[in-house]
This record gives sequence, structure tokens and C-alpha cells, in this order.
Amino acid sequence: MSTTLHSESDDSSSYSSSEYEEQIDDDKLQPKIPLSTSVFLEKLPKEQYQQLNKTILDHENQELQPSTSKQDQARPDLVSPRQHTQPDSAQIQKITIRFQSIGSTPSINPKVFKISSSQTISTLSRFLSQRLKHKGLLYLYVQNSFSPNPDETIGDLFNSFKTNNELIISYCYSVAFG
Amino acid sequence: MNFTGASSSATTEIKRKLWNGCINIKVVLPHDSEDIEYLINIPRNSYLPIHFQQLISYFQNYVSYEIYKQALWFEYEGVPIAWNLPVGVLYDYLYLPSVIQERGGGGLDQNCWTIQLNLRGKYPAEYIIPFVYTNPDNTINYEQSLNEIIVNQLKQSCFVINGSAKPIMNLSESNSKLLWNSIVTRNLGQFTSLNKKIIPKQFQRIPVKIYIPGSTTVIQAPIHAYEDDKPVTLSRVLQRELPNLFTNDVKLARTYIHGIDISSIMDMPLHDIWTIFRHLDNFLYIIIIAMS
Repeated sequence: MSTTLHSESDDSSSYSSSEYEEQIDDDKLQPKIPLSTSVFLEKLPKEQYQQLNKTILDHENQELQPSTSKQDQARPDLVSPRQHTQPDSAQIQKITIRFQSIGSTPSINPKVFKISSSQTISTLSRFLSQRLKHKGLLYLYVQNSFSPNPDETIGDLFNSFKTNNELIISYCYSVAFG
Repeated sequence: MNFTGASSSATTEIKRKLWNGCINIKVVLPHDSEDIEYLINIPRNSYLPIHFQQLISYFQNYVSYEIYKQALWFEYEGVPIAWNLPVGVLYDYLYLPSVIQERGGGGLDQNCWTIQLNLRGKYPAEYIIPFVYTNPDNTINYEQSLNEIIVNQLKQSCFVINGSAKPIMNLSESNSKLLWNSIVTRNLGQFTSLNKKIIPKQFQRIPVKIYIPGSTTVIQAPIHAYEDDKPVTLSRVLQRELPNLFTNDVKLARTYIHGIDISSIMDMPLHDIWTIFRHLDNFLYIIIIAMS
């Protein structure tokens, strides 16, 4: 799955029509799974195997939850043959990230970007370091409270910790919230 | 079955057993023509870096270079092991499927998990979190990285529960040190009393992480403790988060917490299950294994 961070000018509210758009390539990291686990899964009955794969695909292409609470949403509650196609760029859910610098750490412009929901914090961290031309430690914070683990996906963090439909990431060159 | 009716002494006993639950690990270092092995018994709710010192002292006897200068890491079947997860979660996520498959087969040593130690070579920083701190003598400071991860996980779970990480951010410095100390020295009494201070009284959501062996997917949904004033059960959560695997009638997978098949308590309120089975970072780790 290709991943891109699209930047947009800060004052533009219409992302798709933004004239200013950049992309960075994803590292396309292959997930590593123990061989014995793969063997175990391949020996599963067909139904289990298929539904497991659907579950994993579903999560990767998960629908973002609107601001209303999740329980209001109707979701299929039966195992049903749902349509699963390879995600193309139009289907990949994009999440709005707003970067905020803390203290004397330089800010970046634009501050608002779009990123695929399946990407992780480490992608974000690498991107930001490149933007800032910074080689040392970079601390990212969600909700000005905690540093998410590098392997957490943007979609999960967005669902739990968004503010006004944006995931606000504060950053600093030193520990800001001990 | 329900724990609310159980006596508090029974609950305390279960918590004590979970706290003391251990895993046998055989650490293997490929060295010249023969492997060097070290057997270690690690608590399920501990973390690998807490035991690095012990491993380094042993393996240093066999190698000519200084182990302290470069970050070590572990692999299982070529998969780098994420040191930031509790050891029991790693075992269930990476090894439990093989254990289940071999059950009754007898081909696999169910009582010992063999992992490979790597001391040199390129640290797989794209897969697992690098250790970025060093001590004044240039040796790797593993404890600082682990401390940072656990404290931030505690803050994150605190935030999930009640929309604020204030209780832990307001913890005094001496109490923060005591909390960390109780984790490293495995002092259950001290840990419980300090942890009480950082768990919010008001409960909105429950911090849960769902792992699916065979994928790198981790599900962390905002799970509400109550729906329509009724406590949410674990089966309700699984039916909603994993609708392909769990329905009212069909279960295509089994659910493990702390290595225990918890099928019999699926209809308990998730909050009760969290109270008993959460890990040190106050997250409830659930492992889903598809099964016939």
C-alpha cells in the first residue's frame, strides 16, 4: 500500500483542491510474522482463514469514526460476505494531522497534513524530522499528555484522541511532559 | 459467572496469581560453532529489558567484545521481538499459536520458549523501538527507554479512561520513583497502592489492546464502559470490533488473556475483566487466535 503525506496550506479548508501538495513515499515495511504462526493459520479451516484475513483487511481500511460515539453507528452484526477489494488511493482513509511545536522547538509551515490511517507514528516522526532537518531526538505528544508508541497506527490514535476531527501532534526536541 | 459476587479475597488471590505468572525462556546466542544457551524464568507482566543486566553478565563470559556498548535485541523465527510489550503478551502473540497447534502432538516443548539473542549487527530499528539513551560511560541505558515507554503507556491508558492524564502527571516525583521501583522489583503491594492514585475514579472508556497473531494489526478502539447504562460485556466488544470472527452464534476464534482461554467469562462486564486482568500499564491485552 503506498502511503503519502499530503501537505496543504494552513488556511485552506478544502484539502483536495489545495494547490500546494507534497507527497513522501512510504517505506513499505513488510510485516514480519513467525513462520510457525503462518503455518498454523494456513492449516485453519477455510472459513476461519478467510474471516481472519477479512478482519485484518477491515482494520487496515477501517472506517473512521465520526465525532458521535461509536455505539450509535449501525454495523453489520453478522458474518456476511462483505466486499473486499485491494484498496486504491481513493479508498484509503486519510487523517488530518496538525503539528504544534512546543517551547523553543521550531515550528513548520504548513502545519496541517494528511496521512493514511494505516500509517504509524514512526512514519510521522521520520517525516517531521526530515521537515525540520533535525537529526537528534524528537518527542511527539498526543493531547499534550503522552508519547504514543512508534508502532501505533494513526487511525487508532485518531479514533481515541482526536480534537475537532484532527489529530494534534505536539513535538519537542526534549522531554516536554515527564 | 461473575466476579462481582466473588469475595474480595478470591479476587486478590487471582490478581496475585496473575502477578506471579511466569514464562520459561531459553535465550540462545549463536556463537562460533556452538550455541550458548541461558534459561530464564520471566514474569508475564515483566519486560525483557528489566532482565538484560542478568543476561549480559552471563553472555559476557563467552564473547570477547563488550556487550554493553551496543543495543541487544531478540528474535523469534527471524521476527524482531518488541521489547516494549509485556513478556506474556509477546509469548501469546508470537508463540501461543504454535503451542496450541502442537498440543497433544508432543513435538514442541510447551514449557519453554526459545528465542535468539543478537548482540551485534544492524539493530532492526524499523521494526522495534531503538534504545536512544546512553550512560556517561557510553553503555546503553536500557532502563531509561523502558521507563519512558511504560510511563507514557500509563498516561495513555489514564487518558483513555477519563479524557485526561492529570492523575499521573500530578504524581509527586518520589511517588513516580516508587511506582517505577515497584515495577522493577515486582512489589505488588507497593504497585497496587500507587496505581490506585493514578486510576481515575470516573470511568468512561476502557483501555484495551487487541492483538491478532499472524498480523501486525493492533486494535485500540475507544470502548465505552457502559452503553445505555448497562455495562458492556467482552463478547459485545468482540462482536463489534471483530464482526467477521465473532457473532451471537458463531465464534471462529478463541480469546486469550494472560495465556488463558477466557471463553467462559466472555459475558462478564469488560470493566470487571479489566480490573482483574489488566497489565502493569493498565491496558487490557487481548489475543485473538482463529481456530476450528
